[in-house]
This record gives sequence, C-alpha cells and structure tokens, in this order.
Amino acid sequence: MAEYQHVSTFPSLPKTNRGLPLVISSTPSGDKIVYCNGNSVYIVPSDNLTGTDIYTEHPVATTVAKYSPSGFYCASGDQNGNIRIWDTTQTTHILKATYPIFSGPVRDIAWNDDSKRLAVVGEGKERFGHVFLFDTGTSNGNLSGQSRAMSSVDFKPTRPYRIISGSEDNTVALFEGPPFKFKTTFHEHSRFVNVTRYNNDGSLFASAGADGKVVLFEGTEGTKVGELADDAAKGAAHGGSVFGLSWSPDGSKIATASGDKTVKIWNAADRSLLKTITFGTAIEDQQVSVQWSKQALVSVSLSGFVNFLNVELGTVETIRQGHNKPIVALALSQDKQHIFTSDFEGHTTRWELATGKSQRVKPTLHKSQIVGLAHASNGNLYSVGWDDTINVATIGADGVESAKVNPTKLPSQPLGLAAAKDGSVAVVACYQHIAVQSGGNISVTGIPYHGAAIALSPDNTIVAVGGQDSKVHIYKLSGSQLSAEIKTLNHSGAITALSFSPNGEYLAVTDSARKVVPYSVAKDYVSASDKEWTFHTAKVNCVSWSPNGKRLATGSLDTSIIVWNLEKSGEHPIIIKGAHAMSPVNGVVWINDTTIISAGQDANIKHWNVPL
Amino acid sequence: MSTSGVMVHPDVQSTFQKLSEGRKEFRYIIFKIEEREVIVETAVTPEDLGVTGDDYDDSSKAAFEKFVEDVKTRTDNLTDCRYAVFDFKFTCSRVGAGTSKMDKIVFLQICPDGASIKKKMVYASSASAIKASLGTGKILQFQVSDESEMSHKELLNKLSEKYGDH
Repeated sequence: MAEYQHVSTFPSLPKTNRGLPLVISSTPSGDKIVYCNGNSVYIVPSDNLTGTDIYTEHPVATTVAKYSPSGFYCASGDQNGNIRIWDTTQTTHILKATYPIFSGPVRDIAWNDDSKRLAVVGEGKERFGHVFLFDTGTSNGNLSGQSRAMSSVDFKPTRPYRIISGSEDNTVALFEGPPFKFKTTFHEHSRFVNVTRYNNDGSLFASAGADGKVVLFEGTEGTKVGELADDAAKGAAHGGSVFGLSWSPDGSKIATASGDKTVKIWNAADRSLLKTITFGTAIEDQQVSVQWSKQALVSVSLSGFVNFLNVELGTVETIRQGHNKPIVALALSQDKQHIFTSDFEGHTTRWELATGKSQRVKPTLHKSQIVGLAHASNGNLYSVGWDDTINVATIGADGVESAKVNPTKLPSQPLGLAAAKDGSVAVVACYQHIAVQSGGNISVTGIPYHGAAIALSPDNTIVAVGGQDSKVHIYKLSGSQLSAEIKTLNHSGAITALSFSPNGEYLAVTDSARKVVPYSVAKDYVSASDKEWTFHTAKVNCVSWSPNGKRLATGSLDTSIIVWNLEKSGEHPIIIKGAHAMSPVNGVVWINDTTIISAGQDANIKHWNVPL
Repeated sequence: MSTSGVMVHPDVQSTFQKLSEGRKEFRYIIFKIEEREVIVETAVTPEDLGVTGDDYDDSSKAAFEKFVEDVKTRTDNLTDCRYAVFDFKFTCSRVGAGTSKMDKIVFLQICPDGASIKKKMVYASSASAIKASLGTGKILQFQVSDESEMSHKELLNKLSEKYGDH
C-alpha cells in the first residue's frame, strides 16, 4: 500500500489582468473547463471539484490553453512565447512537442477542426502570430498584416479554411489558406479588438472590442452582416470594453462578457438581446471572459471568480470563490466541516470540506496580506494582517457573507497568531511585541527580539514565541498576564512555525535551517525524536499535529510535505515530494488522524490521505 | 510600436505578398502616407520597368536606377518622404560556394533632408506600423536621408557585406 494518496484538489481560480481579455476554454465534450494560473494549466470539471487535473510543466507563467477538437491533445502557451502540446488521455501528460513561437506572451491559441494546424497569436517582437502543423512544427502560412500585438485568433471550422484575428491596432484581419495568407483587414472597431470567434459551422464570425462594439461578419469573405446593439449601451453592445465572446454550441446564440460588469446573451439570427446578467458594482465584478461549452455557460470575474450561468433564466447559478493569488494562511473550523484560507491580497474564503463549495468572507477582513488565521468554537474567526490589526470576525448563522468584524490596532507588525480553542484568549507575535487579546482587551509586552511565530498550549498556560533571532522563547500565561521568559531554546535559523500537540505534551518547532524539532514539554524541553528531523531541503513553513498527537505534518519551501511519526521517530518519515508542484507549501492542517489538507503558493488546496 | 496613429491599408500587405511570394509579380513598390493611412502609391512589374538584360549580371543596377528616378519624380526631387520595398537581385562571391545569385527584398525608409520636419516625423514614427504589418522580420531595412545613401553601389556594398565572404 502506498504511503500516501492524493485524494482531491480544490483548484485555484484563473489569473486575471485588469483591462486584458482572458481566454478560458473547455474540453470538446464540455464537461471540463480549462484555464491558467501561475505555471499551471487547470482542467476542472464543471459539475464538481474532485476530478481536477493540473498540468505544471511550463517553466514560466502560463497564459492560455486550448484542447484540440479531437480531445487527445492540449496546447498551452506561456509568457515567453513557448507552446507545449501534450497528451490529455493520461495523467502523466506526455509532451508531444514544444515550439518557441515568438518572444513575448502568448495571448490566444486556435486549433483547426481536424486538429492538425495551430494558430498562435500574442505580443511578439518580430511577429505577432504564427500558424503551423502541430506534429512537425512546419509553417503553414504567414499571419503578418496587423501592426500591433494580436489578441485573439480563430479558425473557420469548415472549408474553405480561414483564420481571423483581432489586434491592438483596432483591426480584424482575415487570412485565406492553407497556406494562410493575408486577405484583408476590417476597420470596424475604434479601440483594441479583444476577441474574434467563428460560429459552429463557419458561416459567421464575430469580433468584440474595447469600444463596446460586437460586429458580425460573413464567414468566408468577411462582409459585414451587422452589429449587436443594446439601447441601454447607446447603440453599442456593452457600456464597457467587451473582453469575452462565445457562441452557443449550436450557433444560435452569442454570449458576451464586458467590463461593464454584465454578461449578455444575444440571438445570433436577429441580433436581438435576450438576457442581461448583471454582477455587482465593484471593479472586481468586471467580466473578463466567457465560455459556452456543451454543458455550461461560464464567465470569469476580474476577481477570478468562476460563475456558472443559467441561460434560460439569465441568472448566476453557482460561483466558485476560491483564490487566484498565493494562499498564505489556513485554519480549520472547530467542527472540522470547513476550512478558512487567506490569500496574499487579504481575501478570506470558507470552504466546505465535503463538497469544495467556496464562499468569500465579507466584508474583507484586512486590506493587506493576512499572516495568521484561527477559528474558535464560539464561531469567531481571528486574523492578523499587515495592516497591523487583529480582527475578530463573528461568523453568525447567516453565513460568511455578513460577518461582524471588529478590528483592533496592534503595536507593531504582526507575524504570527494563536488562539485558544474556545476563543477566550488569542496571542499575537508582533515584530517588537507580544500582544494578548482577551475579552476584547489587548495587553502588550515589549520584546527585545523580533517575533516570527507563536503557539499557545491547549490549557492556555504556556506561550511559545519563535523569534527571528533563531530562538524559541517560552512564557507562562495566566489570564491575560504574561510572565517573564522561563526558558529559551536555541536553533540555527529563524523560527518559522510552532505548535503544541493536542494534549500539550509536545511543542513542535520548525526553522528556516530545515529542522523540525518536537520538544517534550514535561521533560524540560528535550527533543523527543531519536534522530534529527532534517529531511526538508529548504525552509520549513508550517507544522500541524494530528488529532491523536502522534504524528505531525510539515510543509516547506521545497514544495514537499513530510509526515513524521513520534512513535517511530528514528525511522524515515513519509515524504510527499512536490506536493504542490513548483510551489512552496504555506499551510498544512490535519482533519482526522489520516487526512491532511495543504495549501500552497499556487493557490491550490489539496487533500492527502496518509494511512497509519 | 507605432505611436503616430497612422493606419496601414490592407492593400499594403496584399501587394507586398505579390512582390515577395509566388511569381513575384512586382519588382518594387512605393508607399506613401495619405490622410493618416499608409497606402500603395505604385507597384511596378518587371515589364513596366522595361529593363533588358540579366539583373544578376549587373546586380540590378539598371532596375535600381530606374527606381531611384521614379522616387525622385514622386517626391519632387527628394522633398517628400516615402517607404519602398525593392526586390534586389545580385551576385556575390561566397567562400566555398563561388559566386552565387542572391535575391533579397530590401525595405527603404526614405526621409530626405530636404523634406519638411513634420513629414519626416510622421514617416519616422509610422515606420514601425508598416514594418510590423509587412512582417519584415527577415527582410533588410535601410534608412535613406539623401541621394548618395540611395545609390546602387552603396546598397550593393551593404548587401555583399552581409551575405558575401567575410
């Protein structure tokens, strides 16, 4: 039996850029959506989260990924202008070919209907687009003719073949082939053209631009057929830049997504507006992409939220509200049904562990990075952030979207947080202070070193503070009163995390010198392990005890998770190598004695089964 | 990146394709900017040029001189600016390969000293737009500011320097 199994992943959301169109796509059958974030390509089922597949082979940030119409290959592009074409039928994703196209970000990729040719456009220096045969890389024409970066490309799916492209020189270009040659350009838009797409039978194509216009053209010659117009948007299609456009699979309707925070559904035949789906009023609610697959209509908000839309009713059915920025804090709810995660930008999300249903905590707890998160059995969520406050949010029965927040200023920048299980007391390690929060009051003690991490014993009597001075400082706590330092433990690198075992018997300490040390509290803090636990190859970021207090899990900058067993402390631990591929592990927590949840810099949350 | 806001007419690219690909219908094309758009002013076929004799023997000397004459008339004796592409056929010697016949397309940005400053500014700031839409990654580019820089000898020297034996 394997030492561990990867159970499932709650994937990160797509990475978005304000003012730039985002390209998401779907598998030919429409059961999965495909998008990019970080160095990865995510293939996420549209109806659940358990079957998520992640491709992390690009050496730099990925930008766009498209499945071939045959479904056997996927082509993904990155910031450096490289295309990787890989097998989709196996989880190992064997690389078929990789081609350097130009030196700049890839903005869009299109396959032709027989899955033989690929067109790639982007922000190259010497050229903005290229069309080639996918298996040999042989050029299949020339996509020059537009004088600025090309942002969108599509193949006509039927013969005679055509390629259309949209460019930042405000034109739509038509290419004839194969081999593909410039035919003409259309000057219908007065701003950047963001997206150009053919319908299912190639009889029409549509272009949408930053001027809010959506123009329909005849598929072969490019004669203008008409424009989509909404009276509410002064005759244009949208009141803001149109970032996304997708035809319904049968070609009868068009969905457009815009910076005016709406998605509109149009009838393609008479160009009438059928439905307007309005999102919020915040900048984060701008719609940057839309994809209409055989199974779902999906739009993406600037916040990265993935919205599943109901076409018939014109409503938002479900929203995936995870993170698309590195997750830096992770806390398990006391009932062990939910986890809370916080990202680099201060957003906090509550996840239902059983289903992966995600909900943003509103209002935002901190305006900057959150560094510590803890949940108490009284329903309070404690958080500390770089805005130098501790926030106690009461999450009531009416859910996380109306949390009552209560921020209090801290004397210096917080770096670590620990809270009692019942929420009676919380301790914060600050840069120059230790703060004890109890009953709404904060008492502050100055420290002669710089704090980095903190732990509170389960009986709320011992506080251990890890310092950037490579020492662990132990204090006694009575009520909210901190005693003088009673013990100092020396390490060879700055302390990164500390945790008391559930019964208070041990104190686990990790440091930036790769070490994990379980101290025995009763035996005057001698190490309880037979051998030195130095299996990580880089700074250890986080530590968590299993509920039975026998095992602990650590996550590290080296991208791996290690599960240590105190009863077999001299033996080789279980090492989950590359638990978060190409990405440090920032948080780890046990749900029960055999299941771990980890959160990484890649904004993914992963479940691991580690049998005893 | 062009910042002048000058657009490129679709004919520019399609005419250029006729010069660079397939039967090579044209020998040279002259472009000009009119009403904030780069357009084709003239596209000249080898028949129009009426050059007899082999281009490779004289390294396109006769054809190029006719082209220069044409540019001079069109720019009112070099007081206006133009862009041009010329299909340059020449012979040069290469180590190990002896003499070989070469065929290179050159892009000329003609901004004579005699032209008005405004014209020179517009042509200079729009050059990247036309170059990008022609896809001139692989073709040679020259900037010309007086007649001597546009002489056949000067260009041939530059080309042989690049492709000859050195």
